[in-house]
Parts: sequence; C-alpha cells; structure tokens
Amino acid sequence: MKRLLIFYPRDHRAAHEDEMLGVLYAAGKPGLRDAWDLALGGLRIRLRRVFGPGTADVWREALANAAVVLSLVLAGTTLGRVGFVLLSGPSVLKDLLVFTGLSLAWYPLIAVLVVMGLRWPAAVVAWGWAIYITFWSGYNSILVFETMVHLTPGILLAVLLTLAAGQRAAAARLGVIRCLAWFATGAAVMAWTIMSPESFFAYGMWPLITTELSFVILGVATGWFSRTPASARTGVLLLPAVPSLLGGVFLIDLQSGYPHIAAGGLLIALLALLAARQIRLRRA
Amino acid sequence: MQEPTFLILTALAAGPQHGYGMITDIAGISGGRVRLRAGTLYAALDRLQEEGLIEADREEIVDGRVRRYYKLTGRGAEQLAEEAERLRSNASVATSRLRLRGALMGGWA
Repeated sequence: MKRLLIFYPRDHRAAHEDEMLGVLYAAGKPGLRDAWDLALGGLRIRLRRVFGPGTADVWREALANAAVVLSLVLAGTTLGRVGFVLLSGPSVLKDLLVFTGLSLAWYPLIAVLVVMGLRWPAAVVAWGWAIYITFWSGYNSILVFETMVHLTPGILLAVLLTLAAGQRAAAARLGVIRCLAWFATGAAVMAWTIMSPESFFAYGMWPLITTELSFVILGVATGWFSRTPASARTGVLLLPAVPSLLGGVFLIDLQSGYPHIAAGGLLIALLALLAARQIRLRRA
Repeated sequence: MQEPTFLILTALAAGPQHGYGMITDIAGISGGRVRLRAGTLYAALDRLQEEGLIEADREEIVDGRVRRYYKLTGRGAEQLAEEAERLRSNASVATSRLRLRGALMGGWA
C-alpha cells in the first residue's frame, strides 16, 4: 500500500505519508477499493497542481518559453537543411528549392521577430506560413516527409505566438547561450533527419546512429524541461512538435521493430533522469 | 460546494480532528451514507488547505505514527455558514412545496 503513495507529489509524501498510512490501517487491512482511491487521490492532487487555480502565471511563462524555444529550433532546422545541401552538392540544392520554396526564409524571420519582442508581427508571419504550408501540403500529399516536418510545428508555432505574451522576457530568461543551444538543436535534428531516409538503403548503420542521436536530444531536452514548474509545462506545450521534427527518424524506428523503440524509450527516460538530476545537483 | 467538502468542514466545525477521526465523524453525520477513504480525504484536505479553509493544528505520535490534527479557519467557517444557509434555504423551499403538493393531492383525492 505504501508503494501507491508514489502517485503523490514528493512534498505531499514527505508531509503526509505517515499520517495517511495511519488512517489507511486504522480501520483494518485496506482493500482494493482503498488502493484505487489512494491512487486517484494522488492523481487529483497532481492534476490540481498542474492545472488548478494559481497556475495561470506559470502557464503564461511556459507559453512564452515554448514560443521562443520552438521559433529558435525551427529557425535552426533551416540551418540544418542548408548545411546538408552544401555537403550534398548542387543537384540537391535544386531539389530543396523546388520542394521547399520560401520555407528557408520564414522560420529565421519569425525567430528574429520573436527575439526582438515583436510578438504580433511574428504571429502574423507565422500564420501566413502556416496557411501557406497547409495549402501546399494539400497539393503535395505524396511528400509525406516534408508535410510532417513543416505542418504541425508551423501551426503550433503560430498558435503559441498568438497566445504567448512576454516573449522578449522569455528570451532574456533563456540567455544567449541557451538560445544558441536550441538553435543548434534544431539544426542538428534537421540535418540528421534528412540524412537518415536518404541513406537508409545505402548505409545500414546511418538510421541506427540517427535514431540514437534523436533519443539523446529528446532525453536531455526532457531533463532540461523538468527543472521548474514553468519549464516542465514548456516541455508539455512543445510535445506536439517533437514527433514531426523527428518524423523521418520515427518512421525508421517503426520499420526496425518494437524492441528497438522500447530500447529507445528506456534510453530517453534514463537520459532525462540523469539530466534532471544533474540540474538539481547544480541548483543544490 | 461538493458534499464531501461540506461534510469535512462540518466535521471540523466541532473542533480540531485527525484524519481517521474525520472519516468516522463524517460517516456519523451522514448516517453512514458517506464513507470517505484516505485518498479522497487527503486530496480534499490538500485542496482545502491551499484555499485557506482549513489548517494544520497540532501533531501527536500514536503507535509510532504521526497523527496530525486539522482545524477550520475563519474563512472556512464563513464559507461553511454560507453553504449551510444556502442548503437550508433550498431545503425550506423544497419542504414547503412538497407540503403544498401533499395538500393539493389530498384535496383531489
């Protein structure tokens, strides 16, 4: 029964674990309904702390963080594409321009507007891009990879920029180094994601390496996002963009089979735990 | 205000109580109809403390375990009084209408 208290937040457990066990055993041996009620009670407390009254300010901060981080990551993906093209030669550059058109300019422009604190111009540009990409993907439905990479994050970015105030303050909170790190993360993810389907049939090792890299990025990012209530919520808000950004990699995972995905999941969890622990140790 | 919340505040209106004391008291107040379990009780206590309606009073050690007492705050007493008045007013209307209905049915019969 004591194990079920894992459903409760740590501080609640520290304050009430002993008295709760006293209440549980006061009327005899607790049964299955007591166990179910105990688990539900913990979930209720956690849900109220995440969404309950008094969390509005934290959600506002998380929205601004998410808008800044996603705009930087997506701007970084442009760099990843350009880097890949420069390495691959002029024929690929032509393909890229044919397939992506204006996409190379929009994300960097949005990121610059966000960092400058020009929230509404950034939102207008983001919605323009989201509408363009929606129509574009409708006409090019066979380009699954391109659609997955652009559509969800593009719309998510437009929504975040519309809802989030205080983006300049969020960028200042992140600091120059972290802003550059998120930009570089976007570049790395995009470069590797583009390379993996290209080289899947030619080089058996590439998909595996690409997948592991994506797991490392996901794990460390999850750990980083678990630091504070606001950053944990930032991670939740950005979740819809992750499968899209890593779309190509996850497709390869599915082809490789479920044990590989399970191993990847464990790796993500382990890295997230280590990153969160490191951060806590540094803060303590 | 939900019934478990109302009953917890009612239980504490008589004076500070510990968790198991509240469970047995609430079962008594409700005529055995409401039997709170530990998970429901402590989720409610956590929320009520956060809302400033109750607060921890004192602790004692019984059989090697901490037993914490909770008490009603001034704000909690105010809200309980408002809710009791609202329920009393509703019950009064319901009772008078049922009496009227009984009289009409009796008249028709």
